[in-house]
Formats: sequence, C-alpha cells, structure tokens
Amino acid sequence: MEWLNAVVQGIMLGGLFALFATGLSIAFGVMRFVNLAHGDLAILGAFVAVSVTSGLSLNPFVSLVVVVPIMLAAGYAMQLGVFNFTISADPLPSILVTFGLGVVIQNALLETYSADSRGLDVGSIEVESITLTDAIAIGWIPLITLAAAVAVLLGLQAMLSRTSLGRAFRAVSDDPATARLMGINDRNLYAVAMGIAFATVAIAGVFLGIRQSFGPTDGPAQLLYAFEAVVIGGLGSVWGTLVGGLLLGIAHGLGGQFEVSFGYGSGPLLGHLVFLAVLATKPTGLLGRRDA
Amino acid sequence: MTESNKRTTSRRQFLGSAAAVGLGGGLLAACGDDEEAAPTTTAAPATTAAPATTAAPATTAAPSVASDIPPAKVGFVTPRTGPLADLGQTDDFVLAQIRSLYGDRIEIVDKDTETDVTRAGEVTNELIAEGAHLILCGGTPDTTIPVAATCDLAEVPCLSNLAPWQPHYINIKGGPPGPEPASVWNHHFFWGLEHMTQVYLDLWAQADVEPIIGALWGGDPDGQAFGDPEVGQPPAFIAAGYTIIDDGRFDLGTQDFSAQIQSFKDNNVQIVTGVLPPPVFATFQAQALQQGFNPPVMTVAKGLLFSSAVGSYPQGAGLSSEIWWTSRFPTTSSLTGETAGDLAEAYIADTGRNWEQPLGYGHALWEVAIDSLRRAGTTEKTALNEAIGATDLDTQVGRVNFNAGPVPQLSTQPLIGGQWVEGERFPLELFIAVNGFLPDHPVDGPLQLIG
Repeated sequence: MEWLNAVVQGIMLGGLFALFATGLSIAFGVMRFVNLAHGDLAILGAFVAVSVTSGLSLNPFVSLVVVVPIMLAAGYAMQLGVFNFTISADPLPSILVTFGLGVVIQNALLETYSADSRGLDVGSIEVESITLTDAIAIGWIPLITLAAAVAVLLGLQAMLSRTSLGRAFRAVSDDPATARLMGINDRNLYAVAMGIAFATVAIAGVFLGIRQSFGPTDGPAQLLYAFEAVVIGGLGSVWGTLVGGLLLGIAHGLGGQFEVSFGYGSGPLLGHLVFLAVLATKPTGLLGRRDA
Repeated sequence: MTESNKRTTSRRQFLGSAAAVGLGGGLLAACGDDEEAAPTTTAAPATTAAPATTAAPATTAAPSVASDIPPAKVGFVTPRTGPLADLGQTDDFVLAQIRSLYGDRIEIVDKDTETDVTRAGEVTNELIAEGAHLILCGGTPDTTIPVAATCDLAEVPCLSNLAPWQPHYINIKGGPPGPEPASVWNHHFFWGLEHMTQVYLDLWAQADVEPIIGALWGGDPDGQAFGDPEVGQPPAFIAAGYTIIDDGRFDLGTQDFSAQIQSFKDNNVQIVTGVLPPPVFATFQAQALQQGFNPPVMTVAKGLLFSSAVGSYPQGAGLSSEIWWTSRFPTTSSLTGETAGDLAEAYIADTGRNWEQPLGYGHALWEVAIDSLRRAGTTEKTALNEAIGATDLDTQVGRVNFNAGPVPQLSTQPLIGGQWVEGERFPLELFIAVNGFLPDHPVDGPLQLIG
C-alpha cells in the first residue's frame, strides 16, 4: 500500500514539475531558446505574488489574475528588448544572457525582499486533504496544482492547434525563414511566446509558494527539475511536458519510498536516472519531435 | 524611512547611549529627540533599564571610551546574502553600532560570503592583503572553517562564533578533539552538539508522550553528523529510553516526504526531530499535515531559529528548538552597558522587526575583539593573539573564556531551549522551557504540546 501511496503522491508532485516545465518547453519549442533563468523567473513570480497578496490583500489564488498579466508583459518586453538579440544558430549567447539574468533576478530579489524565506498563505486548505484509504490521502493543494498543470497544457494545446496564433507559432518553429517570407513577424511572435512562457512559469511559482516556502536563491534548484521534465517528455512537445513531469514526480515518490524501505541512496537519484535513461535511449524525449 | 535614515538614527541612539552609559536609561534619553523612534523606544521598560545601572559598574563604563584602543583594521566576514543570509541579518545593525562607538579608532571592513565557502576564503585573503589586523567571522561552519583556515595560513588572528564547535574544530584541525587547539590563530566561542542533545532531552522530558522519535537527518554534513549512530545524537536518545525511527539519510532537495510520513504514522511517532533548513522543513510540515500527521512535539535544529522563517510555515506555533540568545538573557554588554533587553529593543526600534538570535552573538564578537585590542595595546599579531587567548569577559552571550572549554582556544556558551508561541507584540515569540545551562534565564513554563 505504501508503494501505491508513493506513486499517488508522486503524480501530485509531477503536476508541479509539469507546470514548471511548460514555460521552458514553449521557449524551446517555438524559438529553440534555452532559458537558464527559468527557475529564477518562477521565484520572481512567487515574490510578485507576495507583493500583490500583501498590497491588495488578495488570496494567492486570486492574485494570479494580477501576477500572470504582469509576468506576461515582462516576458514580452524581455524578449523584444533583450532575448531577440541573442537568437541565432549558436545557442551560447542565449545561455549566457539568461544565466546572467538569473543572477540579476536573484540579487534584485535579495535587495528588494531580503533573504527571508516566504510563503504564500492560502489558509487552512494548505493542510487539508481527501482521504482515500487509511494510507492514502491526497492534499488539496497538490491536487489543485495538478489540475492547473493539466488546464494550462490543455489551453496551450488548443491554442497551438486551433488558433491562427498557434499556426504562426508552429510555422515559425518549423522554418522561421519561410515563415518570415509568408509575412509573419517572427520577432514579435517570439515576444508573445516568451510572454506566455513567463505567464506559465509565474503560475508555477505561485503554486510552489503555496506548497512550500521559498527564498530569492531557490530558483536554480527548480530549473533542474523543469529541465529534466522537458527532456524526459520531449523537447517542445506539449503533452510530452505533462508526461515528463508526471514521470519525474512518480520517480521522486518511488525514490523516497526506496529510501525508507532500503536505506539511503535513491531519493531524487531515481528521477535523475530516469532522465539519463531517456536521454541515452531516446534523446528526443518520449513524445518529442524527431527534429528537435 | 530610507536605509540611510535608519542608520543615522541608530548612530545617534548609540552615541547617546554610549555617552549615557552608567546612567542606565541612556537609550531612552538619547531617543527623546527623535520623533520616529520615540513611540517604540518609550516602550523599553524601565525595569530592564534599571538593572543596567546596577549591573554596569563604573569599570564597564570606562572601557567604552574608544581612545585607549590601538588604531586597528578589523575584517568582518559573514553570510549576508544567499541561503545563510538569515544568520547575517542583524549585521547591519551591529556594525552601525560599533562604527558609531569606535569608528575613529577601528576601521571595519565588512565582507559578504554570499553563502559561498570558496568566496569566504577569498574575501578573507583580500582582507589580509589589505592589512587587516584581526578577522571576525560567524555563520555556520561553512563560514567559520574557510575563514579560520585562511587566517591560519596567513598567521592573522581570527575570532569566530555562530557555528557549533565540533564541525568547526574537527574540520580546521583535521582530526578528533584533543589537547591541541584547532589552529594557533583561531579562537571560537559557541556551544556544541552535546549541549543541543541535552537541551532536546530536557525539552522532551517535559512532554507527556510515548518516547518514540521520528528522525529527519538528511544526507548533508549536518544530518550525517547528527544522525551518526556512534558520535551523533542517537546514543544519547537511546540511553534516555527513546525509540528512534530513522529511515535513513535523504537528499535535502527532495520535494516529497510521503514515505517518511507514512513510516512515522505506522510507528506511532510522537516526537519529530532532525536538522533541516527552513524550506525543507516547510515542505515536510505541509505534507505531514495534509497526510494527517501532526505529532505533539517537533524539535528541529537549524530550521526553527528565526521568526522570519518560522512565520512562513503552515503551522509555526508550537515548534521547538535550541535557543542561543534571547532578549531576556541575564547578560550585559561590556561595550555599552546595555542589557540583552536593551539591545533587542534598540534593534526593534531601528529595524521595525523582531530581534533575532544572531544579534547577541554579533555584538559579543565585537565585545571580545575590542576587549582584546585594549588589553593587547597593540595590533602586533602575536601580542593580539595572546590577548585574545587571555580573554575572560562577561558578554551578551555569557562569560567568554578560551581556557575553560573542552578543547583549547574554545569557549562554550550557554544554550537553552524553548518553542515558538503566538505573541502579543509580534506574531511569533519565543517561550522558554529549558534553561539547564543558564539557570538565571527566566522560564516561561513547560513545553506545550502541538495541537
């Protein structure tokens, strides 16, 4: 029964991983852009939510209404003002610039908010749960996080397959030069994509802040899991991101149970091993596109 | 209030209090002309100010004249940013106070380690290259070890605190405790794991629960040291009659504790202990509560030290911890004559935040440094190092004497224990339950069970 519980809790954790990975997946899928500041952006989103919740005395869930547009605008501006100048066949400029951005965000947050660890308080629902059996209880917050991840990815999938914006995204992703010839303003489109990426990572940051406390320097640790989820699921694939996140979450849950049952050594290691196994056997990820 | 305004205020206060030392109510008098600080400082109770008059005899008033100290350059290395920044959060206040009192004699150069072991050594080298006569440092072994080791190589006197003595000592010396000092040039004052284990046992002895401990000792150096079945905490816990449920070392990066929680539930764990950084503890507690596990006692090291961190947990009230310093410590500053309460009130008035435990140790570091400089009468390194070694001084954190510790050049300071409770003035305040190592500290009552 404890093994089943480990899988169930792992799936719940996977929701958060998937939410984190979404923005990374968008940026890579649309413009082959590796964003090393992704984890720091999530923490930035959580801190913006701290300001919004205390300034406007809103519930953190409601604060998303304010935080998401702010981060969307920030992403749009950041792509137009900075990231667009780094996009080229060489991935190094974007890696260096986003690495630097991560350092800037961490230190700006330290200056603004001090090093105190913060949390987003949503009241008693934080510790409430649905009891399935004696051994299995699902917390409301992890469940809502998973639902949010599925909703965000469903919305993204619908946008990509049903709207003209989505078609433009796919066109630019497949062949930017030809898309430009067809009259698509790829620079502007990149900015929209980065805006969406920032918006999703802000959602992830807020859910992280509700789930656990966070500090200005917690971003890089989140980046690692987001990367692994994206690579496991498949670079640039929407459903791959969800699958990657869930698999990584299950690996974490089982890893924790291994630890308790057999002693030290597994934990997140199992997640890293799944990541390595996928990278070694199917570098494009489980649901990745072949050219990715 | 801007940052610079805050500093000015504190300088004015402390210049005032320095001048008025021996009059006891120095702080009150000094703040009278400051509208912004006035409302908070008037709250400083006359009862805490009064003992200062009696406890600070004329001899302590005299030393706070700065002119009998040789002009010196002193480096100050602490983590001000990064994950350990909570330990350095009171430094701005402490340094502003010392600069206002001794700025004309002592040039203070403060450096931030950015919570980076390598950088801690680098900035120490920079300070030494700039001609620092003495290096002060504090903030976990990750700060004190590289700084003290660097000072040892360069043969520069170094004073450290805010790190349990065993990891500090063992890593610098490279061997188990013995009759030799860890390093010729380092003197350290703090408490050790033996004090912490005793405080925990004293706390739990007050709780009427079944003696079953669930241990959360992670795979980091602290967790491995605490959980070591031979030299860690388990032997003392077992000897005291406790059963330990220890599911092994785990990675601190883990975001899922369901396996441990299930195991604790299955084994009827009543007391949860361990050593966890704040974010990890927060994750554990939220999941434990979600899964219906809320043990009556949770006594965890490292993660429960700061009201700033505990306030962010799902359920901060009731958590218990070791406590190094409080505003009610029965101590007086050798520099200003302030009691612990005066110092804490000055900090609250200056920052608008509740005091935190590093305040006492940050202040005490300078007490020992300035006392040693005065007795040495010179900044010559051997004479200064000998003067530090001869320290026998009552400070904010108790008597510091480097010849009375379990190993040479170490002074162990008193450690007490207690828990966070909902407060009247601040959301969370410390409730003291255990004072075995410091019987003069008031006790609020026995440990209260959670829930």
